[in-house]
This record gives sequence, structure tokens and C-alpha cells, in this order.
Amino acid sequence: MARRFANVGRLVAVLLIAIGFCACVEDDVARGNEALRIGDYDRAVSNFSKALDMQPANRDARYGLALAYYSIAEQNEHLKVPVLDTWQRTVNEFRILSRVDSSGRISGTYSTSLFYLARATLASNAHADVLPLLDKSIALDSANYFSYNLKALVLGNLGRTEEAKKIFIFIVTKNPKFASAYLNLGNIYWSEGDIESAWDIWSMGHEAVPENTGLARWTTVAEDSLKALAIAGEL
Amino acid sequence: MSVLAGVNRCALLHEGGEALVYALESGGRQYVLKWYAEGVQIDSHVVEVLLRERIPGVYRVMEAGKKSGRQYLIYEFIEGVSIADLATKDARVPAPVAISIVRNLVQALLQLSKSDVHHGDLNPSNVLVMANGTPVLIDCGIVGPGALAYAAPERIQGKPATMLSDMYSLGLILYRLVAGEDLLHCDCFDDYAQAAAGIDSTDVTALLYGKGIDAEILSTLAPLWKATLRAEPSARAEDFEELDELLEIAFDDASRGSVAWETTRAAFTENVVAKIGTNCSDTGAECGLPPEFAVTKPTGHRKMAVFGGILGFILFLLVLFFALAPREPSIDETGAEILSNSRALEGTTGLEADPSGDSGRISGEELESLPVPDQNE
Repeated sequence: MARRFANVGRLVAVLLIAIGFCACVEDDVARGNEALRIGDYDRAVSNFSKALDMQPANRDARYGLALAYYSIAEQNEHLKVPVLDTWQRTVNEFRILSRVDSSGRISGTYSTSLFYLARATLASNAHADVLPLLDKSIALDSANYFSYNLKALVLGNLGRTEEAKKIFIFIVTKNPKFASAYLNLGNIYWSEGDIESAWDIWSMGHEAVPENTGLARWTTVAEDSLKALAIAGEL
Repeated sequence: MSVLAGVNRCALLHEGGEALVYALESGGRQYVLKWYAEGVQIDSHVVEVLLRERIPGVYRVMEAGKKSGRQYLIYEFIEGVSIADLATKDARVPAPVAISIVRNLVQALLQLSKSDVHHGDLNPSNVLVMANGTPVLIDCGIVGPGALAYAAPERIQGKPATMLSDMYSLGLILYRLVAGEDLLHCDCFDDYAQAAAGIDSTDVTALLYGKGIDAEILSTLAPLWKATLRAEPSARAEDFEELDELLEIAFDDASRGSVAWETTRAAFTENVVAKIGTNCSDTGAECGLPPEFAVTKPTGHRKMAVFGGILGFILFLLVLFFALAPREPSIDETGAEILSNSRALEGTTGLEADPSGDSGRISGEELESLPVPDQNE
């Protein structure tokens, strides 16, 4: 009986130590989460990093660290300071996180991070090949029309206008309120001298998103151009 | 843990009208369970003091309570012999020893009185003399006059125990020690009441003549009878300090020097040691603990069940705590919020090519200066 109690005692002691260890990590994660919610991103990074030092595969700590870098990068976007390095850190954390969390819950944020990284990369080097980043972003979140839009823009600028047009058309079909896609698609037609098609797209976009001033403006410009062409007898 | 939970031996020591007395062995130590008869009451204040305080010369009460409406006390077993068994017609206690015993009792009663406790039933059965010759008081706090042969007149009249009523009883105990018999022998309550009321007229010294006590010692004892055996409380010694002084004087006179005293004391303690345990009631007949006091001992399985129950209860409390405690948002909720704000941010900035500007440039508030691959490249 005494031996059984001793064994139970040992088991309880091991459990208590394990619980204590986990509680320590959980405390760091909880503190990091709290810091993240109130915008204290540096402290969030510090707490999540501390938790990861003890448990590198801790999913919540890794996600928290990725979110903290994400928030810092977004803040820097606002402040117009260089963001490439921060987005790279963010994407790197999400890349590691995707190995410990295959539930798909983080796909949205990971996809958005990749979009931002692609955009920051282009800002840093206009000739950089960001299409793999954008493809991965789209693969993670098929509803990320920002990535589709940027990909189409990149393709358009590379001269692959037909591919670009198809993507823009896909975007406005799936999300008729995505004003940028109307603008960009119309722009391609405009660049090709197809003012009638440009007007079609912009006016369609203006109808779908009347509050968008760009679409209103370019619909008017295209209308005026078409009128001028008609008067000149070129239409 | 209660003494009762660990009892592995029980013996009935005494079965009287006042109480059933059991000897208990629990946790390797011996105790006495005194279960009073119906109607016998113990002053709750006295019990409270005895449970709380450890007074030299007074028994050590461990537990107290009621079972089947009858009060009980559990106190440490005292290995000794009562004055009732020690002082008999055939075995009187030498006067210096008797005075010494009474002095010890006075000290114990003095300590008790500081906690406003008075014995109330001082009689030869309630004083146990241990092997070293020192007395220990037991059975404090009985409500009622107690043993009538030792009750002060005012106690017989129904008044509560006081220091002076205890002092009267001490005088009678001293008499019993030196005479080997009770001073008052009566058949009924009224006779005792009458005898106690007329105690002043009793010539105690005359009664002790012919009992083999030295005349000088009888005269030494005389002031003690005057200080204790008085019907009127105010006629007795003023307090225990005064009585102790009288006892000290009497002791000095009676002991006749330290050598004589040590010799007398040694002979007395030898006599005590010889008598301890000889009374058959000291060991008693083996019996079971009364069912009212039985405590279910946890068996191995039961111990495990109790352990599991406690563990389960702690877990239940933890679950309850986590269920009711204000919950912090999870990291996923924080992530969803950040993503939601992020998407809102993106919605306010466009990603558009500017048809009016340089070919291939991306317009929009944030992306105005953003270079994108040149269309020509």
C-alpha cells in the first residue's frame, strides 16, 4: 500500500512539475497576447520569443510572434518607413507556423503577409520576381483578391496582358465591388487604344461602386474621348 | 486526527452511576474516555479552558463532546493511584507528605482559578498521585455539589463552585490523607448538609488522636483545619496564597528537616509505585469501543477512494474556476481581429494602374510611388 502511495506521489510530483512548466509558457503567451491586443508590439515579440525559447513548437506562441511582426510591419506601412525586413520576418514566422499548425486557421493571415511581402519587395526592387509569392498567397487563400490584383498588375507590366485581363475579369466576377480591378482592367484597354472597352469596364465599375471617385473620373474621361472620336468621325 | 479514529484497544475501567470510564490506546498512547451518565453536566467554560490550556497538576483534556445526549471527555491516561486507594485506615499518608500533596493541589487550583475555573468536586477519587509523589487533579467542572462527603456547605445549598468551596474540600482531603478515612460519614443528603453546616463545632484534632499521629504534628495541623473546615466561606483562609503560607509553615514544622523529609518521601513514593496498577480497575476488562464512538477506519480501498474523491473535488474546483473566471481572448481571436483590421486597411487603398500617368505605373494613395515592372521590360 505504502509503495502504491509512493508511486502515486511520484506521478503527482511529475504532473505538478509539468503543469508548472506549461503554466510558465502559457503565462508568457498570455502576456504576449495581452500586449498584442493593446498595441505593445515590442513587448509582445519579447514575450512570445521567451515562450518559444522554452517550447519552439508552441503553436500559440509562434502565431503570436507572427502576428506581432505582422502588426509592426503594418504600422510601418502607415508610417511610410521601410517594411521589407519586417514582412520577411512575418512571412518567416508564418512559414514555421504552417509546419506546426496544419489546421488552415492561419492561412488567411499568412496569405495576406505574402501579399504585403510581394508589394514591399516590388517597392524595394521593381524588377524582383514576386509571382511565386503571390501564387503561394493565392494558394493559401483563394479569396485574396488583393494578391490576384497585384499578380495581374505584375503580369500586365510584363506584357502578359491577356493573362492579366483574365485575372481582372475573374476578380470582378467573383467580387463585383473590387474597384481596383475595374480600374486596372480598363487601364489595359485604354493603353491598347480600345477606349470603347475601357469605357465599358469603367462604367460597369462605376455602376457597381458609385462611391469610387477614380472610376467616376475615368468613366467621364472615356465618355468624353468617345464623344470626341464620334465628332471627329473616327468611331 | 481524533484520538477515537486511532483506537486499537479499549478497556472498561469503571462503570458507575456518574460515568462509564474506558482506557483507550490510540497512536501508541494511552487515554481515558469518560462518558458521563445522562443528567451529569460539565461546565462548558471549564471544558473550554482544559482543552485550551495545559496546567501543571491538572489532567490534560484532549477532546470533549456529546454522544447520545451524554457528555464525554477524553484525557491523557495518568498512571497513578487515587487518594481514595492510597489513604486508607491501614495506610495513612505521613503528615508532611499529605501537606506537600495539598500544597501541590493548591498550586494547581490557583492556576485554574486564574482562568476562572474552580474544580467543584474535589474528593479522594479525583486526585491521582503519580509515581513521583505529585498529585494530578481530574474531573473538573462537574455541575452540582459533587461528592457530598467533601462538598462545602454552600455547594450542598446549590451554589456554584468557588475558590473557597474548593478550599473547604482541600481541608477534608488533608484529613483523609492523614486519618485514612473521611471526616464526615453520613447516610443521606440531609445528614451531610447538617454535618457540613456544623463543621465548625467538629474538633478535628481530637478526632485524630489515637490514630498514631504525633501530638506536635496535630498541633501543627490545627491552623489548617481552621483555615479550611469552616461552614462560613468568609471564615476560611482569604485565598490560596494565604492557605499556601499556612501549609508551608505546617510543612516546615512537620517535615523535621530535609533528611527526615527525604526519607519519608522516599518511603511514600515506594508505596505509591507498589500500588500503581495493582487495582484491577487500572487495567480493566477488554471491550469494544462503544458504538457511539466508533470511527470507521479507512481501509486500503477506502483510502484510495477518499484520495480519489479529494483529487476529484480539487479538479472540479479547478474546472469551475476556469469556467467562471473571466476569459482572456485567445491568440486566434486576436489574430482574427488583426486580420479584420488589416483587410479594412487594404480596402481603403487601391491597387490600380493610373491610365493618365506614365504607362504601367500603379496609382492609389499608398502605392503612388510604388515602382512596378516596366511594361517594356
